[in-house]
Amino acid sequence: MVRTLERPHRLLASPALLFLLPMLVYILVWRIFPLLYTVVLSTQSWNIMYRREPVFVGLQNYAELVRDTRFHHALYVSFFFMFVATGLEVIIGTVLAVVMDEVLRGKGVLRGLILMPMFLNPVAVGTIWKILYEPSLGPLNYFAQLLGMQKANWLGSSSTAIWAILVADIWQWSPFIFLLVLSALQGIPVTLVEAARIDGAGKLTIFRKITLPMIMGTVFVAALLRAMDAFRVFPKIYIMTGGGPGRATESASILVMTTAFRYFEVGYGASMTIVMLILLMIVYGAYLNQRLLRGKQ
Amino acid sequence: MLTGSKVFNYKTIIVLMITVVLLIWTLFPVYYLFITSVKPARELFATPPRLITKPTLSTYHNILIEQRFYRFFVNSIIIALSATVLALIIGALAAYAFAQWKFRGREGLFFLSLIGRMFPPFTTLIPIYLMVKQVRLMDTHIALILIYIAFLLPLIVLILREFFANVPTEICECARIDGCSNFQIFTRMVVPLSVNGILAAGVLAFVNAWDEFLFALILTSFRAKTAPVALGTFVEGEGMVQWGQLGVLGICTILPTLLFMVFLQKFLVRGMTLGALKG
Repeated sequence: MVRTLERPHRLLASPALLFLLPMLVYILVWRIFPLLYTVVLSTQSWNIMYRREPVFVGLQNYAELVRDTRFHHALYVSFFFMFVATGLEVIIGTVLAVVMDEVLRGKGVLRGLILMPMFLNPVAVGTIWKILYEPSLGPLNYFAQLLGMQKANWLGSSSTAIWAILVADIWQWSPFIFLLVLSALQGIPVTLVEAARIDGAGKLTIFRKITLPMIMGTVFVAALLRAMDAFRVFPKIYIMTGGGPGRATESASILVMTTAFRYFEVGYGASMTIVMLILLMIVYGAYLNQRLLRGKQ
Repeated sequence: MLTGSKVFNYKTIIVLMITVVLLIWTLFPVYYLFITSVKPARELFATPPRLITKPTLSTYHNILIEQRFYRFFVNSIIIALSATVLALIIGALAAYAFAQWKFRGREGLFFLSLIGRMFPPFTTLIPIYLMVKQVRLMDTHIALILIYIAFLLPLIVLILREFFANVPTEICECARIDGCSNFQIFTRMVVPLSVNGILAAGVLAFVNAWDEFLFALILTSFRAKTAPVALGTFVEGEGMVQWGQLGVLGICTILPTLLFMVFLQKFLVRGMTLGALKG
């Protein structure tokens, strides 16, 4: 995308500066500064309810996090959610895309209907599923009874609550993977498949030797994007269980919110955020790595 | 088609079955929300749950007008629209700079502008809460607008850079020879030629701003409360006894996205895949 043949200017001498300036100022004020502020907060003991000044405590918050079993459990919930949601969504989305690819060519409406959940507000999705799961009058329990199953309080029992939320997440986000894989599939050159067919390759061989390698990169990237979002899932859990019953579905995001805005321990909450951020960056690092690898090919 | 009937039998039937199951799985939950919102009160708690009803808009009137919940949707429209327009202006300028000029550190700065992908908004919630409180902007539209612009910028820069780079260089060079300034080239040539991209970025940005929950939950309480927060707090509060009202709020919250999906699906999907794959 080289637009001019001149050698690159310094930014300060380039006309680009004026165009970039508003955004740079914006990022500085609303992204970089708050991020640094979070780091500073994480070294302070500060409860904003009691109008006291923040006290510098160094790494004490982090030392406490190492011992805080409630935080460990919250991280476990977040990771569990991330792995199960991403795994199942990738499998469902990819399989559907491969199966439906031919059927969907030129059928925009059908594709749109299948994609719909991913465009819906997560709060609304949480609400929808909360109504569906409702223990006494919800339709799912009614259908379950028709099938001879016992009525169950899916969201109210600590063994099933997380799975009930996962179903809602899978409902919403499998279409996202489906969409990305479908785009990748439809980008495979027809001539390539034709050539293989003429050379006598069977359907399975074509799938294994052409289709699969051509979509693997996309599947991987899609999985990482989903994983990063799933790790910090908030609205669905907040709406459907609020972290309960007990602490069964208390994810790290929920715990940060509780710590900072119910107990008003902003310093401790900030240190939790930093730990989450570091974990997210590890995932993001894997993502960038993959992009670089793909760039080299 | 006159292909062999055997092929027709197996494959078509299996694919048809998958399609039907998939559509029921996808559509039933949304349909149930809709039917809940239009059921007359006495049918709401009927067993077995009614799947077909004679629709009434009385619940809509009750919650939106009588209980005055329409205000939260007006708030959402004001906030999402303002944030989208402002972010489009700031973002388009930056995207043009990235697409048009080569300068040292361009890749680094571009990477910086995508920082939102690396550091999700979540990580800045606590300091932004303290900042907003400090400048006394709690529960105001302006606070959410300012914050949402920051969230929308990466998305917009990413999409628009791609579109601006596709504007033929010759057109810009001709305009330059005719005496246009950089800014004039941008507003008179590049922007009009990239309407599709701007629309795609705008739709996606609006939907993102409309759907934001976390910051709206923490930073608003009443005057600037947005639709998702109104829905969320209603679920926690009286929602589980007022199913009809809950259904109405749910439907109204997803309505803008549904409309975009019907009329602008191409842009929405394009923005989403581009954002995901090139990010």
